[in-house]
Amino acid sequence: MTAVVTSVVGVAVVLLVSAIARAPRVRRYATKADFYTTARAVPPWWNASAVGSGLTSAAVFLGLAGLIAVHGTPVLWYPVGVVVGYVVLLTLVVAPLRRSGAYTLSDFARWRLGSVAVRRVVTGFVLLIGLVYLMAQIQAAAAVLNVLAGAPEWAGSCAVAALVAVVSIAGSMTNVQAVQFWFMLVVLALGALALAFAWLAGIAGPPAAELPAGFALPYGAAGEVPGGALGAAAGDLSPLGVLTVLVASALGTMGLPHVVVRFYANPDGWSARRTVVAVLGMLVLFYLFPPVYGVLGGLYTPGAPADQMMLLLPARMWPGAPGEVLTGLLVAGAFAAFLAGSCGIVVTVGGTISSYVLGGGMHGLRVTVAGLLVAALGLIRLVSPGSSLTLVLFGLTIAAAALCPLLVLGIWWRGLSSTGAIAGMLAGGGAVAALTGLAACAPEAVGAAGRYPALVAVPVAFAVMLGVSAVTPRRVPPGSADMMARMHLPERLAHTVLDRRPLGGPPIDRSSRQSDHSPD
Amino acid sequence: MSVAAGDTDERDASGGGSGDGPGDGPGDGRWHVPGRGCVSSLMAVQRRHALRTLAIVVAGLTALLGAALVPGAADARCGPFGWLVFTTLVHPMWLVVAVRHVRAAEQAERDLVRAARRRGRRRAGRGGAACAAPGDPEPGPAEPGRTMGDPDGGPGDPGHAEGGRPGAGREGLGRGRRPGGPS
Repeated sequence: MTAVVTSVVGVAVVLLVSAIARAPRVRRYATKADFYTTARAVPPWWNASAVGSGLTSAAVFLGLAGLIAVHGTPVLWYPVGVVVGYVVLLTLVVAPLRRSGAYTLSDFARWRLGSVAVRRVVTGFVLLIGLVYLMAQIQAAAAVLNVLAGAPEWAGSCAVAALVAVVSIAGSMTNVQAVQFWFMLVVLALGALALAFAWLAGIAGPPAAELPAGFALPYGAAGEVPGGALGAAAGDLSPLGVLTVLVASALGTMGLPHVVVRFYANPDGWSARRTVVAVLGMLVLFYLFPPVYGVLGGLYTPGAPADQMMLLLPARMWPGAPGEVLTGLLVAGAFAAFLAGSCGIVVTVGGTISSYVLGGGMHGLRVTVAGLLVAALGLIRLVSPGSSLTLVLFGLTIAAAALCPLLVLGIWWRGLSSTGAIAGMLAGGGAVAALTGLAACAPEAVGAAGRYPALVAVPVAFAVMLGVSAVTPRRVPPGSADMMARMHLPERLAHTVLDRRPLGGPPIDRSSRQSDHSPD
Repeated sequence: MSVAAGDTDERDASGGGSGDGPGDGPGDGRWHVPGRGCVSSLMAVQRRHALRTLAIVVAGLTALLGAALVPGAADARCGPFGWLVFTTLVHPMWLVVAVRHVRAAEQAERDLVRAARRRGRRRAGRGGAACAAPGDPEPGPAEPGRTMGDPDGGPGDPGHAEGGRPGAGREGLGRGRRPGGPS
């Protein structure tokens, strides 16, 4: 009962603080573009908090620690891949993408390649990745409700989806996500420190089980797949599987729509770079704690489902009021993580889809958000319980195979043609879909390729994109040099050069909507 | 590794560019960009920085993967949880790599801006482009108020040098607010 009360109070605090964080900002949004981008004036560290919440979501908050408890330290390769993914994002993508002035990945593709067809394909992949991520969040949140109140998973899913719909269309998601990120981080740290203290001080009592053999090894066995059938698409814990995870995470992070779109809230490319560095610092902090829960979970909650381990742990280690209070706090933290992650996804993907299909506007966003949530609720029944982190990795694999080549080549190679871009994205995404499907239905038919799809699909996508672009030079958009200048030169110098402005003429702020390529 | 002013100017002097891409040629827009060499030069430097950073990342990951294959390597100093400790504490290394990359990338942009500013000041009287061809006549004296000033609004301007926001103080962006925007 104490856990329920504490968690209700914690959730109320999350909602209250989010509302307070939203209030001063909402007044500023005179236009739709301002609504989506928080007026493009968010400081790096604050935007980094919002970006960080995109990956330290409920699925990761609960799933990572649970998988460490079940499968041991080989799971720690996952955070390594994510952190490296941000370094790659910083190195290759973030500043040029911000300077391009495109709000969403679809807008970037349309602007860079001048092709509506490319935009359609990118929008399709954004929708797919968004749905996969949303399913992961909803599944994790439903697991929380199941532990806390014994609610059936379908009821929990519907309840949290309704909450996401309400919160996400209220706007000012950057502030809300940033606040929720810090709340979640504080709760995660407090819980880890308290449980570690209970363990070291002997309050926790004897462990329920010994850690399994091989718990602390760097690799697991080939075929040891965390997270059910979809886990095959995320890689197993063998060295090749780990390499698959690293490739998917390192190259897929740049293709996550709800992460990439956040950088447009920065004023310019310079601050977008600083934002990524701040995100890395926050991730370094965040990833200190899941291993603590994982080790303690392996000792005190053997056999617990991965998604629920963290929430069961405090009561098992510290019976009585302290454990109940800790459980309530962790529930509130998971709720904050869930809300931040889910709202970011639905606003991003909903904005992309609504601007493309429904012409944008708040009504279109509301309709799209509702449609996304309904679709996610329907699709979630197709995946096995406890696979939230695996869904995240699956989304990363799709992003790495389909959107990473488009971004890297679009930013750094003038010769990318629209035909090549479409062919490469379809080849990469198709390879992931085909290998995953075959690995689930007929694993012997695809062999190792089915277990390590990213290792196959990413090179295929790059090769097809390069090869087809090389043989279709007429489909290279005109003015690609101007686009390169816009993406790579510092903002005001790019204007000076591109607009042939007299030196010292009126400065143009690239953060203004004058160079905005997003649809309005 | 920086963008040299001479490099910028020499590229511009070629007039047509290096022809290194399918889109390179009359009519595709590239020939109409004055100072197109600025972009090529900066892109080359940024590409070198990016490749160097990625090489460090790949080397680091390879070392991690390789070390993990050596039996007992991670346990040697840290006990049975050596691998856990190692993979948890390895993250700051990526942060250091990222910080170094940002510094290098910003330095390259700063150098380019300085080069452009120098040429801009010399050409201010004629209203020439920042990276105009050096074959042009010698510039006249700089005209007050017509210099390039802080052409980038980024690492080259005083706000950045002081760790402030780009364009701080000039356009009201210094506190995360758009010019004229509601508070």
